[in-house]
Amino acid sequence: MSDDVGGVQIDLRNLTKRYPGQAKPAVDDVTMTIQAGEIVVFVGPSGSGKTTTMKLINRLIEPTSGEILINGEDARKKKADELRRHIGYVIQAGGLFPHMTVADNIAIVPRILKWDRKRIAERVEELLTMVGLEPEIYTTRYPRQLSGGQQQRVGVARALAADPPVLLMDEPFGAVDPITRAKLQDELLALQDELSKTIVFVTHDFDEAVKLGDRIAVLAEGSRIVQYAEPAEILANPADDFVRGFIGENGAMKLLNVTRVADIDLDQALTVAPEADAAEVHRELADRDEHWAVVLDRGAGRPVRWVNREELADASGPVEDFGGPVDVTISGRSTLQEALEALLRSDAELVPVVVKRRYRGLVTLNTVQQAIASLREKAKRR
Amino acid sequence: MSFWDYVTSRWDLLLFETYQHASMVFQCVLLATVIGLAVAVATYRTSWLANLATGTASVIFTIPSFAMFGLMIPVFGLGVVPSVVALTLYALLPIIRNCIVGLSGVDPAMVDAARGMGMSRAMVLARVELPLAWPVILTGVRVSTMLTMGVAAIAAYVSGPGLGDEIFSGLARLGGANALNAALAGTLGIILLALLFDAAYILIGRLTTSRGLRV
Amino acid sequence: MTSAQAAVEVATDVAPSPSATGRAWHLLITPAIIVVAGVALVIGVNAADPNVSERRSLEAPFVLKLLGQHLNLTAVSTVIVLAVAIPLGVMLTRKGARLAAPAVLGVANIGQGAPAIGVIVILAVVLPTVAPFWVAILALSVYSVLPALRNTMVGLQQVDPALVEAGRGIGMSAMRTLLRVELPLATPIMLAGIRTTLVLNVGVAALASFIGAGGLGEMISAGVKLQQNIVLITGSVLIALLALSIDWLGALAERYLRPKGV
Repeated sequence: MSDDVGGVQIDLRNLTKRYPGQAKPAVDDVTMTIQAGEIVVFVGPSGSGKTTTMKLINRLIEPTSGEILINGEDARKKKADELRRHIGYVIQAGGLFPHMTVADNIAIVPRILKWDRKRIAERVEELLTMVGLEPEIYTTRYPRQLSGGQQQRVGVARALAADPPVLLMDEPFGAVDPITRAKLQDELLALQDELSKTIVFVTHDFDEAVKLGDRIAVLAEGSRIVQYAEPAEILANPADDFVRGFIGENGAMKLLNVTRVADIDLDQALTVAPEADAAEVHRELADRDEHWAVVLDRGAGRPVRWVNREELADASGPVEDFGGPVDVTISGRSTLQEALEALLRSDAELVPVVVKRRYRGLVTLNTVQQAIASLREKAKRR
Repeated sequence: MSFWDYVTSRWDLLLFETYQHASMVFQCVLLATVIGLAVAVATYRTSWLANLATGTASVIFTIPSFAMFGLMIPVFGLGVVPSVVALTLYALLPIIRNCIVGLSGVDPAMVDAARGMGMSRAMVLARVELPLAWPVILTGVRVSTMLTMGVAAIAAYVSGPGLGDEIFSGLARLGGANALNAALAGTLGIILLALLFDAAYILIGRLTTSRGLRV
Repeated sequence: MTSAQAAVEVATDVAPSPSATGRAWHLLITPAIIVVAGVALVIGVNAADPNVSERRSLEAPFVLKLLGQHLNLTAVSTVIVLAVAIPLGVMLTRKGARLAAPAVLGVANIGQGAPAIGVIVILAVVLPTVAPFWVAILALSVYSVLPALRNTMVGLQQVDPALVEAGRGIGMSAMRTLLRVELPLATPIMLAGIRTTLVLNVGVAALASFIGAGGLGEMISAGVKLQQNIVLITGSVLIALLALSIDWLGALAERYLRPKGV
């Protein structure tokens, strides 16, 4: 197993690409920082220069002026071919070479880098396993013997072959059917959890951008950055009509998918320690006119039991002898969509939210509804 | 004398002429392939250059073979040299054209992917473009061989080697004995060679085309 | 062989240029070459100061007579070839004969390798009583009928079957579909085929002089025999220019005679 290199930061400074004979530059003075280990999605209409901007990074297109810093090093000072051998590149349909087997396709860059045979063979096997293709079956296959989704997986494996810190992906999932596309997107996210590469992903599909991007750069003509922010921010606060048009209908619904439970106003209930006196808790609930209390375990602050006012009437002794166990919790990292599903599925009126295993608050149908309302309100106000 | 008697009685000579014919065609086509490939590689990326190369080759190709051999005599005299030059020139067109068509027919996405992985121009050409264009290139070489095979018969007129000798000796003996036998032996020999070469190309095509490209 | 390869193989024999721009270029450059080479020939011949016997072979009436014979051979054989190849090609691409088609195409491919001079000599030997002109015509026809047949068949075969079906679907008869759909759509490739046949026949007609059927080839033979390079060169250049001119006319025809929209 080779050591996977995490991602590195990429800085584009005043990057401009001008083609001779064209009045407007294709890429006009772009400056942006792409954080190490993030997936940054360039999204924009065709002709916005998003692909051109991406290709400036690995110098498949040479910039007219400006700087590209990869991990602080000036990419323009290196030999272009050398540079590209350390930047993974995935294009639509994988761009696999039809005359080479799957293994040969994956081994291209390691061979150029003169790895020894054994290391290459091991790496090919490791990568195929990583992208979910059995090495015994697939190494000797040719691309035309694979489905579109499989070809795309091999394309990703090929880009990762020499373990580059940076991956450039040019509409990689554009040519596959929607179901396969969703699956490939999930796999990419899972892979990224493990590898933490810096990924620049180009697409014209805003939903794909929302799903994959840690950050989205919405680009207009000349690769002008209209908005560069996290998906939720763009959905909630589109910078202008151009971005709003790009988000399309159902912006608020998409928002459910990108808004984290931890980021909304949660309901709060009375929290008590397991050894608290039941009668005391009952009195307090009556005082606050509430029905439920959450029992947190000692030290960890993890929700363990529910108790309600009726159960505690005329009760005595530690509160942990009453009520029932908490069997559904939801992580603060979950999306509102997932919280909604958990509520509807579990039959419970309230679900405790935990962040790093500690109790944070409660989600009810009402909480979600209010969150949606306030997000809509926010979107409308803009 | 029956045709069969004629062939058996002159077996050694016929075999030698067949060998010479095959060898001349093979060498001329080989030479034309090297030249054609070089020209194609140098021009295919610039469309006017590619058109110039194909246009020039097609003008040469349009010149009838007899006239071409005729033009070689004042320059190179008689013998092997004018034959080889004329045949090679003649063989160029199908090869240049198919090389250019094949190379410029490679999916730009393939080249983009190859460049994006850090292959140099030469690597892209050797590992991606040429293998992908190979079936088309080979077809050009094959067509070129077939054409050259028949044209090479005229080489005998400029005292070149090959089975054309049989045909011209048949012509010289027009009305005399064995005229038909000689002409038949030459013509059939050349057709037989064409068949053999064609079969060889099919075999070469199978052996040298990636399994991934076969349909 | 893939269909793409087949297409390229055909393109190699048939169409002179790979692209529309290439064709336009070809249309302009060929007449330029012809004019320049023609002028150079005239100047060269005068400068070479031919002797009396050479002068006799270069006299205009004599050369024009040979040119006339050459054109005659080319034209007659081309007409015969087309009269045979087009109907035969149509027949061989009908449903009933589809099995025979690949065999014919295969034979046509190998036929390229047959030596034209061999065909001429064999026919001359076999038909000693027939006039040389007709022997030459027969040889030319036999030699170029295969490529012409092949072009017709390929032209018809590349017509999208969906269009033929559409034609039949709206109630056109098979004959009507052939005349209104298939042949017009096959015209570009068939025109290219006619052009190839013409150029091929100009070339092979140069060999007709070997059996006494005349043509510009006579100048080459005489030049070689009498060691008159000036006559030899003039003959060769004239044949080359004739072929280029006919090829050029063919290119014009291809460009302007093809059905609009195809």
